[in-house]
Amino acid sequence: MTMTTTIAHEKASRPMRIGILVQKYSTLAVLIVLFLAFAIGTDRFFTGTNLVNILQQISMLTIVAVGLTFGFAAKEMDLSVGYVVGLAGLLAPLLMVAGVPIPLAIMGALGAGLGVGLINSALVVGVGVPSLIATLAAGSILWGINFMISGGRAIYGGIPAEYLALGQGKVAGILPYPALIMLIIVAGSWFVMERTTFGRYLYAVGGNARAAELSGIKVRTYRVYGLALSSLFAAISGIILSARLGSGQPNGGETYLLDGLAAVFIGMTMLRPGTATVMGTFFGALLIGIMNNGLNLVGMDTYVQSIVKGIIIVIAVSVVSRTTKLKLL
Amino acid sequence: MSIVLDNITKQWPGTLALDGVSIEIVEGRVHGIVGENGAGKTTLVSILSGAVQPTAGTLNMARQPVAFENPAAAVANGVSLVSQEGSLVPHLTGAENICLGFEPVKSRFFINRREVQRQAENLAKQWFPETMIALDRKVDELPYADQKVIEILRALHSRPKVLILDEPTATLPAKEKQSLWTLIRQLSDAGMAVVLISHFLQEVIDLCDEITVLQDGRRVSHLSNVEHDVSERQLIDLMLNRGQAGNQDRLLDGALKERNLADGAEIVVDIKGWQGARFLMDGLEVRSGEIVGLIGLTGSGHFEFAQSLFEPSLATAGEYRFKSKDVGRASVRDMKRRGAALIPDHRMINAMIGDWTVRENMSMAGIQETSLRPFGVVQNGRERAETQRLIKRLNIKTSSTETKIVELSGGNKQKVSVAKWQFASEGKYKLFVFLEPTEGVDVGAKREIHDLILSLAERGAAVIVASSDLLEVAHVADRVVAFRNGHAADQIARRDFSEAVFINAIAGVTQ
Repeated sequence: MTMTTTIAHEKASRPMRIGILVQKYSTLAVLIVLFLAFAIGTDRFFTGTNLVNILQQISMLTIVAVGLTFGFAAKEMDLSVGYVVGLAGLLAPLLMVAGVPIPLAIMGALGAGLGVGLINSALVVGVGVPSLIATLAAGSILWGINFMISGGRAIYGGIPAEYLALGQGKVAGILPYPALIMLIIVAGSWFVMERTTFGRYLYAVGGNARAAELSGIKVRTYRVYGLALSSLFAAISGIILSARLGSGQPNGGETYLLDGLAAVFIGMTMLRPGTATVMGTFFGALLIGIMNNGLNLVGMDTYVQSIVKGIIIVIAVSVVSRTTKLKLL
Repeated sequence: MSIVLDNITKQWPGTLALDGVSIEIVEGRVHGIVGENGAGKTTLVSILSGAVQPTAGTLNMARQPVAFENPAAAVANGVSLVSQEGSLVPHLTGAENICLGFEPVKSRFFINRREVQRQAENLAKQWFPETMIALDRKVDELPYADQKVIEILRALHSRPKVLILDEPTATLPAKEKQSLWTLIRQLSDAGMAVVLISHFLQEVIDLCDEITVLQDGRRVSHLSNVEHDVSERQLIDLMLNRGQAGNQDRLLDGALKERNLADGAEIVVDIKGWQGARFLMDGLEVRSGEIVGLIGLTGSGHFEFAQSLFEPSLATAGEYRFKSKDVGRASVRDMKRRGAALIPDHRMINAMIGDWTVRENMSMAGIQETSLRPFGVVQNGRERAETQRLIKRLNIKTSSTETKIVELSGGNKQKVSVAKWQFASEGKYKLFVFLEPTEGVDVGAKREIHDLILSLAERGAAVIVASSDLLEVAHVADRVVAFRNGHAADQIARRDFSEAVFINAIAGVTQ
């Protein structure tokens, strides 16, 4: 390539580049501004305890959102994750109360989550139901099941202390286990998505399924992976939730769906605009966590937080939709 | 009423599609328009039907100049088009399709279903009294010929004076064509001015009262009173404008050299009775180092056949042996593993991920080769180096490996689509199937892609090139298979290549 064509080419695309640059970092800027505002505005925000607290608070949300990211990468949306959190968070305590050893109870809860993911993908990939609809229906069914198996009551009493430590204990007295598990999951998922052929293929399936298929990628299998991982991660989150609460709650995970989607959408404005990435999702969850925590400290009511969160989602999705072809259905 | 095109010129950026064409279309007559691909037929139809505005020249109806700013204006002036591609809504009934957009209503809001049915039936009775079509059935349940008749009735609903039929029989099975021809004659007998665009020359000769021949955007001849004494041969000569000095067969300009195949070259593709929904290939052998061109009219099945060599599940019967092993109904993935590669048409839909970089697109089929087993850890350095190597080798114009693929020109995108199958896989693929290899590619890059195709064969691959560009096929292919109506009809050896032979073969002229 000659110099002249290189220069001409860069000139032509400069305004677009700046646009993408602004978009890529605007969410990060909001995050930093929010952080600084709370740090200056209240004296209880920028303390070691509170920052660790934020990590702890966002851990379950982040894990659900990272799971959603796998689905999004393959262009599948999983609306059942909130109820899978609830299912796993009920099953593990139920099994332990019935005398099942801790590892088996955890395996049972994870297995149930994975099972839901596989049923979802059988509907989506096998039958051809759009994932949005299949998982919406699955969520409704799970909500009913959760109330059925729990009798509508919280499950507690007889849950071993070792299990509760999973949600309430700390590493070296500083870092809570949920935060540690979250950090491990974020790092591991980032590696898988960005540095392995698995991640590349998953993104290829979401990017252009036909091109992926004609390149010899197992499109159907990767769509199953996307949905299965999404449910599995929700189940992990549910286990931590029940350990943290010390009980299984029939409607425990419901808020995670909306917040999880919000984290993914916010993340899609960063790094690779229009694409769900693990780090983007993590920053999205962090933004939500900082906002909730800070607004709490300022003394804002939860319903105001909900309004602010909704507005942020709308802004994030608007930004992505304007500059990229965001197609979810 | 007649419509007169006076000195119509249409300039597209870079090409002159029509150059001062004058045609008179008269009521009660069928006017055929013939010419090769690119002769200007489509542009002419678009201007007549208001989809495109001429750069110069006028349209006259009843001696008054008219201008069709859009298709609705053309319809309002009495010119209706029955387009080549199906324009029916599949799950509506024939009657509903015919009245689509003009539904009679009752109580201002509700479609009067009975009236819809009645209008459609009246229209059918008026024009085609002897034909029975189930207008109350969903159109996708009807035979193709009936669907075509419904499309014609729909065009007749607006009571046009001029009806344009663009390749009306292209998608029809042979026996259904006959009945449509009768109907077309009935239209002109009833006083309609009919314009017929068709690749099937015998059909044009049998049906038309007069024929205009276009070549490279110009009207090269006009037969005003066609009787059956015109032969296809004559028509083809007119289309190619031969017999005039300096207008030799373009294929023969670049001397055709037979390429010598190595003796005993391995048979890569061996096909017997291979058929799918839209193609039938009785038998074909392609050897290592050989390039076979596939030609045919739109919808004649050569693309579907080519695709089925990489996607055998498209076939419903027959035998396909790849490198002497039976393929059965192997998956795409399995064909890739055996050593088959496809460079599809519509590359942004079938081959590329738009917001990925050149590197990511290029490594899509071969990234596992530069990754660490067993977990497939991507080696960024190796991936980049391999991409860099192919960018150099194929002379791909891109500012870096990290440029987004959409920023490349058509030709360079196409090179990436080819390079994909060489990514850390040099020599691995023994069959390359190309569909429209130079679609949307400029002239310079076209030659490079042809050279690329030739070099793949030189290095021992079997190559299939399905293309609607006859010159392209003549340039690269060792032999050509011509498809007609889904059937692989003729094989043409390189020494016999000529435009006339190709056109005869795809249009179905017996020599």
